[in-house]
Amino acid sequence: MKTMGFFPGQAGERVTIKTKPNADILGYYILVDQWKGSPSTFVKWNGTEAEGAQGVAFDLEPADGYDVTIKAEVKKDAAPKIAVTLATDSLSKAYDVEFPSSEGPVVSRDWNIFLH
Amino acid sequence: MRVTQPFVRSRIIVAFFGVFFGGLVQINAQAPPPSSSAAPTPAALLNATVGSIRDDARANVLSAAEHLQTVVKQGVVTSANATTAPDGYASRVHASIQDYLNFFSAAINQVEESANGQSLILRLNPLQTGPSRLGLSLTLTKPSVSPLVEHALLDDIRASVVSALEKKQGDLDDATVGVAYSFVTPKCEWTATARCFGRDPDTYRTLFSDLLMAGPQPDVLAENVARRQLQASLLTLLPPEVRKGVGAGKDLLDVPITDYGANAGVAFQLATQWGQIEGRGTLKEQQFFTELGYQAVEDLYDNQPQVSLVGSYHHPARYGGANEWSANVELQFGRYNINRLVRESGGNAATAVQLLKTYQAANETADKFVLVATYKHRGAYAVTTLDIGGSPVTGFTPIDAASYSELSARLQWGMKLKQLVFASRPRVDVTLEGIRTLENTAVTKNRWVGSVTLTMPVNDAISVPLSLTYANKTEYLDQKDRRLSAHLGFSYRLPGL
Repeated sequence: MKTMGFFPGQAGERVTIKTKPNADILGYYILVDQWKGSPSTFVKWNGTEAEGAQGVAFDLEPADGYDVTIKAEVKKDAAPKIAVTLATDSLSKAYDVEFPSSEGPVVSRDWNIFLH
Repeated sequence: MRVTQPFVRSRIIVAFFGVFFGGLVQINAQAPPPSSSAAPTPAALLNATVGSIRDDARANVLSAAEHLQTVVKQGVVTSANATTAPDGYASRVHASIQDYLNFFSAAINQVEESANGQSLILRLNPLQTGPSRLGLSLTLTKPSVSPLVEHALLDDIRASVVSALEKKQGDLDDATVGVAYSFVTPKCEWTATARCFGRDPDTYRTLFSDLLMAGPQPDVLAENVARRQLQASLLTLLPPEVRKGVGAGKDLLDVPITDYGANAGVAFQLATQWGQIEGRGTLKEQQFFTELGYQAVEDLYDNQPQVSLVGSYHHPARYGGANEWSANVELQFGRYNINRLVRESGGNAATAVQLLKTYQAANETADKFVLVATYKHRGAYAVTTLDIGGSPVTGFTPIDAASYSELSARLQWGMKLKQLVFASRPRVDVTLEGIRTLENTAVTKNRWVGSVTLTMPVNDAISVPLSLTYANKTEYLDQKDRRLSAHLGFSYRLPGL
């Protein structure tokens, strides 16, 4: 569990997520929680779906915010990484995210999307 | 707010410590106070960001083992640093053939200079047809003079002649062509009816991702709610002009703690609590997924059947020795692998998650079959005269080295038996290892040794191994007068190890 970044967005905007794992990532999935007082699962994808040119996307609805979480199964004694791109209509950010084996066998990293 | 004046800095530091040590903040009553080790020095404070404070607090919570691992890794990296500059050969050749590489760039997958700078490796894009994958590579190595040639020279002329011979050899004279064939299933699915082969992570990633999605998830709701409150407080606490920047895309984690001005102490404590919560959440997730048996996933992956054939042909420079070629075949698999998981789960990911725990508990994933066989052949090598500057070298003994070939093989197999002995399952391990060499057509070595070991557990700490070993010649065993020997042992595992 570790927040990797804060990402601003507005209701109505589309958030696109693209990923590229290295060979030390065995499997992973992407979970989007919507916050309205408490979190509830908004959408989730098998991580490999986000590896295509289009990535995966969801539309921001009025809410307190969103959490985008990547949970990855990682190899032991390795250097698992996923290159992640988060983008809205107005902003795009690229992250090279480590998923340390020492936190394994399953490691999670997340981004906080806040609406303004 | 940007701090540029020493006077302003000192005022901020005073304000920070005033708030920090004054204990004016108590955002989360359940969160432990920041540890004493988290107390910042003024210099550290000026460079700290919300993210770095959070990271420090998170690392403090995580296990000492993680810290130790990091230190060990750093040590390894440091010790691996080259103490001498790499040879300039690889970079020189790389530069000289760059134009050709550009021309073939569509076919070239990777161009790599070896760490010592003495080799340049070109890997072509692998060719894949169905499950068959073919990889090709070309390695150019700095030409050298063979020890055979060196030792055929008299001591007093050796260094000068070797140096002259090295200058006669061209940069591209020593080349090795490599061919690797492997049987790799492009994508393994839950609905797969045939076995999947190979250990390419891409093959199984969709399947493993499904496995993770289908399993239960740890309850970290309290941690998520608590850190979200802290994050919101950190945003609210920012001066309006800085908050505007965060809204425009600057990351809250990158905000210097000094940007909070007089609220820096509060922000420090909030970021610290945030890191502590994430540290505790991480430990909770780690324990949860470990108990579910997810470590077994990598073992199942490592036990997938793997078939590979690797061949190489080495053509050294004129004075670099004989041409060599080799072939290697490798077959590996473990009984408990992904194919078995898919089959026993009926292609259902949720059922597969349950099986993981069973496999892990039974410690079955260590069973493995390995067969490796390698054949090497070095051609005959003859040099009758050495010629430097148009005249033959005196003090050189002609070389006429015989051809040499070597066949080596290793087979390993082990599994737990179903029959119970003292309420535990015995284990049987079989190994066969050998080597056969020829010079010209004469056999110079022929050594084959095989053994079978039956390990009977008495309890968790004590086991009794019984092994039978056979060798094709008596000299390869401890007892010189028999080809077959037997050993009965006693094994005691010290508690806590």
